[in-house]
Amino acid sequence: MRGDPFKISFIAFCAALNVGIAFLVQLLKLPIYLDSVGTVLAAVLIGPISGAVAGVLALLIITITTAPTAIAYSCTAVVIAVCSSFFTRFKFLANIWASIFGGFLLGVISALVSAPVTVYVFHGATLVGADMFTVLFKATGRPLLESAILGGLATDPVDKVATSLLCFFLIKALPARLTSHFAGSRILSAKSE
Amino acid sequence: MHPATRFFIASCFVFAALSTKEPINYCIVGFGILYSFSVKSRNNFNPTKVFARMLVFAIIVLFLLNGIHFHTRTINVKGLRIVGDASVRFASVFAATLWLVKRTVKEEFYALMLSLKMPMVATLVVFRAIWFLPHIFKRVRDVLLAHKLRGIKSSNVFRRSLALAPALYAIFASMLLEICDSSVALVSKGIWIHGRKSSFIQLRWSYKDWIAVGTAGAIVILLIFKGCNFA
Amino acid sequence: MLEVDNLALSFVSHEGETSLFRGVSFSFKAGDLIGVTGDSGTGKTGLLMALGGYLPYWSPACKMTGSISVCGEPVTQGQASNDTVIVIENPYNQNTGFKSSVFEELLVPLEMRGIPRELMLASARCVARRFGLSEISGLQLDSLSGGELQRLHIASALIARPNLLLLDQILVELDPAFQQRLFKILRGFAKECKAIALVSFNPGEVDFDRFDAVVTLPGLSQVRPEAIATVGAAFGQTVSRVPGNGPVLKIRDLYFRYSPQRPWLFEGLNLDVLQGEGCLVLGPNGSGKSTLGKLILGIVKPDRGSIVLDIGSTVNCAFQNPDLYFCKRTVQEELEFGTDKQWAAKLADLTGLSPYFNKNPYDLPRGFRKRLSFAIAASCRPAVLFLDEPSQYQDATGVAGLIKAMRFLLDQKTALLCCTHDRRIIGEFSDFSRITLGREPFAVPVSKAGSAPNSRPTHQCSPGLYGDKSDNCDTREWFQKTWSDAIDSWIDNDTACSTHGGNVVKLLIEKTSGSLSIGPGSRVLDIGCGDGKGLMALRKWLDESGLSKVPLLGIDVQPALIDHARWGSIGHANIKYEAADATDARLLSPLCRNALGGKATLITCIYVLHDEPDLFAMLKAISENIDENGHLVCILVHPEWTETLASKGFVKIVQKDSLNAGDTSCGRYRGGLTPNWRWLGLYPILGDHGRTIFLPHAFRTLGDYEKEIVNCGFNILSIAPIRTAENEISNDPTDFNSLICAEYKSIAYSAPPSVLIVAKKL
Repeated sequence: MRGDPFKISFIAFCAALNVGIAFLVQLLKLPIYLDSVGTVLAAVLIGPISGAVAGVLALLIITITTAPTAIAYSCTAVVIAVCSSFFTRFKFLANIWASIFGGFLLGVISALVSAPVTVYVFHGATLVGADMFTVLFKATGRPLLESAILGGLATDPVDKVATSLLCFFLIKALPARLTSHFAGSRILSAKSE
Repeated sequence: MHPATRFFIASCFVFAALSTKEPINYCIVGFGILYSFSVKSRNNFNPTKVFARMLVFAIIVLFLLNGIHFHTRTINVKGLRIVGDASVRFASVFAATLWLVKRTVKEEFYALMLSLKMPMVATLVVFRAIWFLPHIFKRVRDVLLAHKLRGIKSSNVFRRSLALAPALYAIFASMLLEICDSSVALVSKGIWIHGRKSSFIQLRWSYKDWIAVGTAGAIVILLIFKGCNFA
Repeated sequence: MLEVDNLALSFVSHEGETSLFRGVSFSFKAGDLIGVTGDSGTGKTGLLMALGGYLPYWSPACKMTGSISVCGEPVTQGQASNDTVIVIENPYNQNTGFKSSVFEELLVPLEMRGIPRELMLASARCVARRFGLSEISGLQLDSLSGGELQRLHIASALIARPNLLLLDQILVELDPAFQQRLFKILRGFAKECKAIALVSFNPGEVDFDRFDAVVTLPGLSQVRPEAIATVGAAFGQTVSRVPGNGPVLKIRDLYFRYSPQRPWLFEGLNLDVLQGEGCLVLGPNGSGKSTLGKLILGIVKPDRGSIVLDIGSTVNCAFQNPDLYFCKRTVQEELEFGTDKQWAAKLADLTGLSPYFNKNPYDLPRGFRKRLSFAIAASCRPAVLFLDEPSQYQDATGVAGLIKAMRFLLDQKTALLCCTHDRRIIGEFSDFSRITLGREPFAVPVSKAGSAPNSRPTHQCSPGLYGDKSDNCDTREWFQKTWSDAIDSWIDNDTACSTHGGNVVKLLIEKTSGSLSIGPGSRVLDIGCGDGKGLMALRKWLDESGLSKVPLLGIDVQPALIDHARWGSIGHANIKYEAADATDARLLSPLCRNALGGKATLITCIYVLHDEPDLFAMLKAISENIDENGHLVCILVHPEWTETLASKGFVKIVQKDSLNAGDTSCGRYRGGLTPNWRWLGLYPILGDHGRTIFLPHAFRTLGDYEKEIVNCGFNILSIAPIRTAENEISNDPTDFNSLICAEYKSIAYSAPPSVLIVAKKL
């Protein structure tokens, strides 16, 4: 029953961060959405399950605050968490080039995973993603599934690369006082070496 | 009313909207939307406007995707049915969620979690996340203000992108320090104390709940026997 | 009770090990109020965290050696005891997040301990009133100011009745009037609950004579609070400066409030700030000091009125939370951002940050982070600088540096608006103009060292704001003391007698001593014995009557309320204690049956806050097992209808003058007639009825239970009228839920309904 309240709070914080960064980006009027920084951070610093919990929880928050259909994309969040945790074996977020490449891969994977949900559940509208790109590809005469995948591929990799770069810098600049909370994580042991 | 009843009613509503045929489901959804948008919120959080905007956006996107032949620039009549069908899906979920969000108070939700004997860890994660959200929004505003005051410019997209990383770092690091403090406070308030917990709000299952659950359940059973989309 | 032996804390990181302190040993007994002090970075917080066993949550990099034991049990880090409670310095991140309203947040520690809601109510109301929370208890948490939130957290810490109460730097958020009150409450709490309270504070923030003992962590610099004044005076040679030409900041007819439900924070505020002028913004918690800063910066818009800044001048603000600013990897980069090196070096020099140039700002201790945020705010050379509690977390050196820097800025023609509670600052800047916010007259705190002309001494706290209302509280308020009555006696230290539970037993003893037939074969029970004060009184009385062999048994269903550790401390061989491990009052009756076994003589004191069925089940159990000559005295108290009973002629309310000398020993409350006095007069008349049961109008559904009562062998004396139009809501116990809901909305919490029954089996 007892757990580490820091880790619990951190997971919850990462979930809120996913939503909060969207708000920050909106305030700064930037053309990206960065909605999985928290997921990646939790997955990398604590573990894939925590990352998945944070991602799903963030979607739950979006569900009750902005778009109730967001919860259907939980599988994408889980996949992002698992993948980014797995990528740390290959110096993801420990090395800048690995981060960029890993971010690109994450973007491709998440686009592929979320497209079927978009098409078969919601007939093309996502509300949280690249709707307008999908419309654009559809307008060129492609079938819906293909346009949804292409729409995702047009935005997700860029977004995920930005996400992983931000995570890379955040983890790098983490003050010494706090790194001790994430003692078990592969990344920080790599950092201190 | 018991929060569980509300949840049941909302699920029944979604089921009814999705399972019925053409004209009836529009009526059900229309009624649900009108009711949930007009009902008064019991907490100080009211996402009606956001939900309305998102719903309109969804319908427009669906129309653009399915309702138009782009190469001939004509309306796709077969696609319009898909648009209608998908819109019903969206709208019913929106209406049900909005109603639940507006009518459920945090304390009731907590009492429900407690009565369902959810493990403390799960309850904690959910409530911490909900708690963090306004906290982060406030922090985002404060940090941007503090950074603006100390001269970080945000005149064009490029400068704003450059402002993103320091703002995010300040948010992240300052919030992490607070998490350390707040986890101490949480333990001190007694989250790990074993044994039964009591609750100030006491959920009672009253006759109103029986009536509501009975009615909703009866409608669902009726729909299943009448033969709905799923049957 | 609290023993610390050779404690050392150090902070381990990949850069190496930094020692916070070492070789700290002390030992304190229950009832002590201890201060902990030391400079920034000497580990005040670390010590408190270690004492509570919170180190790994706070920072796992902290390494501890040495031993700590509380109540004879060693403290294991990471396994915080339920009897230890800590309040940390930042009020905003101590909310659990489970609740959205103030009153419910107050109750969280009780909920976690499984205490039934009726008891929660009784205790929480009392505590809320003591902490000045009653008026705001129905508000949403996010609408409170920092000081109000901090009061809430301290109240909810006390409500949990810990053995060890740790308060980490809480004073910064609290205004002086409340600080004074808090010390009174803490002292009484420690004494009454046999607990130890530790308060950490910055040197000079509060006088040492408030505490029984003060732990000074090593590394305390030689700059005493007295010396600050001289440092400042020496530096501030240019006191006779002439402020610039016109006002830089003009505020005209300012009206502002956060929501239409809350009162106006500013009603027609007019203010001129001249160039290079220093202003102190004073006022109690929640009077709008921080809000004034937000208004000046334009973060919130005034409802009416105007705030005009001189053309070309800039305004900057050092927020209360220092952590918002930092975005660079080192202190040096932070300071040199957007300004020239010389100015940055000058500011760093004044604030004493130069030795930390290469550190990550987030790795600095709080006090230094606060100074850094001040330096950052000053670095862009604003015309008006708003400082929100600048001396927060500062030790003597820090305050001296701050004062130097502030004087320096004034000389550079920067106008300073400084809101503060800190007497070190107020005493130093006696030449500043003062803006006092809030409706109540506000006493300016005076440091012993500094001198503040035209200010009243500290002990005159503002009347009405935290004025002691216990002098004229009504019967309703009295009820709130049944469980947490202790708090009253915490405050009224001169009240030597025991608390209410003890009073009732004493009274029973006095009033029944002639007729009770307790012999060598009897057994005496106290059902619902609560915290055991009644038991102690009974035991004493039995011993004095030569009945030391008669066993005494206490029964209750709340082991959480009366933990075994505290019971052990009573340590009387002839008092036994039994508790059901449940929160259900229903379990009392089987417990009674078990305890009674055969026949017994009973004296019971019951405060019934339970449902009626429980009550009757219990009465039945008792009456079945009572022996022929036994007495049963149940006292189920409801103060609401003391008056009603009096008006019906059943009860005579005895005034203080007409009480016997013997009665007065039961409660020496200050200020004359308190509800206890009234109650004292109640018994003699009711007691005469013998074998009767007294049922007031609170029992609305009596019809259902009438038979049962008669079956139990009681006579029903009277049923008072059920309900009238005006007491429709507040006197109906069966509709408890709606009652609370109704009251919940109207903020005012009235006493939960209960009944008074006095019965005696012949």
